[in-house]
Amino acid sequence: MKITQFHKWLTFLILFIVLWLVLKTQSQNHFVVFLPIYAIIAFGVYSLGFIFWRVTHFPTCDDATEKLRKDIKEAEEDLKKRGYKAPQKKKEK
Amino acid sequence: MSKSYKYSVLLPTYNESENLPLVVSMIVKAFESIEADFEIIVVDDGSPDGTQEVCKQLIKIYGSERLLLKPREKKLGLGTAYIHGLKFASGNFVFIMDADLSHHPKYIPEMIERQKTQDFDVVTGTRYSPKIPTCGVAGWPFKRKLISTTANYIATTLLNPKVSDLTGSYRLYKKEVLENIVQKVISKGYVFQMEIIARARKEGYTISEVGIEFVDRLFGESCFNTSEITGFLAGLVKLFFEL
Repeated sequence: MKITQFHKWLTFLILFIVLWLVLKTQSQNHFVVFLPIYAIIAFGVYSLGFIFWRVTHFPTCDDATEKLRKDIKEAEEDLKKRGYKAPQKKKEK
Repeated sequence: MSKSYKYSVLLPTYNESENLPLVVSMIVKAFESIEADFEIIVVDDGSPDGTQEVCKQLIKIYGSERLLLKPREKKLGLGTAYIHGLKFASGNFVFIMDADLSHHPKYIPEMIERQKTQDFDVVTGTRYSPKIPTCGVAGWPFKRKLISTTANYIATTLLNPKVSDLTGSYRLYKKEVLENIVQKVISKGYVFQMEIIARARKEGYTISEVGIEFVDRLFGESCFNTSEITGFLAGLVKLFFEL
């Protein structure tokens, strides 16, 4: 039987719930009783923070467009040398 | 004396009559610079803009050993384009990449080198790994960065493929690896590329990442609208239960 991501998550969820129920019998602490809610909130905060960080630190390479334009010119010259003729387009360049 | 390998480059095309000659010229230059044996297989889906005529001219120039045209009658999807192209591939390795110059052929030598270091099954180009300083995108507006980051985050959380650029489609595979995986793929669109790499990870194939600079199409821009978003999420959920 193949074990899918769903199975892994289900296992984790069941373990978490069992541990939580056991913890609840040991302590009436507000934090323990509402642990699942806090876990979800923490995950939400982490996710937003992670995405925010990645977006604001998104790797960019601003000179890549220029470099590509140069490489395109070089390719065009190479093609011309080899006898390539671009098909006629309707509008004039 | 090192083993001599041959690399097949699969190029699915649709309306790329302007870019095809450029990308072919650059691919040839990249392989010649490392004196590697290669072939380029163009799988064109019945482009109305003359892509196939352009390709035939290029075959006269570069030779039919180096450039092959294996067209199909109409747009039939990327997965089947790969399967179709693979039938004609005589290399031990297969490159997949886009023909619109967003994937620069200059990375071919680096990907080949990387593959050799530990005989990796897959080498994938990444546009935004935080561990690799040389990669990046050019000219992306904020909205696109946000959508891309969020999509990758959701996909990584659900599928955990341990790869930084899930939708990237600039990759080098051992031929038997790609042949094995592409038969099993069920998704379409953006999720298709994700599924390939997620399956590769799941089957235990070794994967390495190479940083690439990604320049968007110089002619035209593709967008990610609501129906694509729902399609993407639905595809992800399907994989969550499948993989």
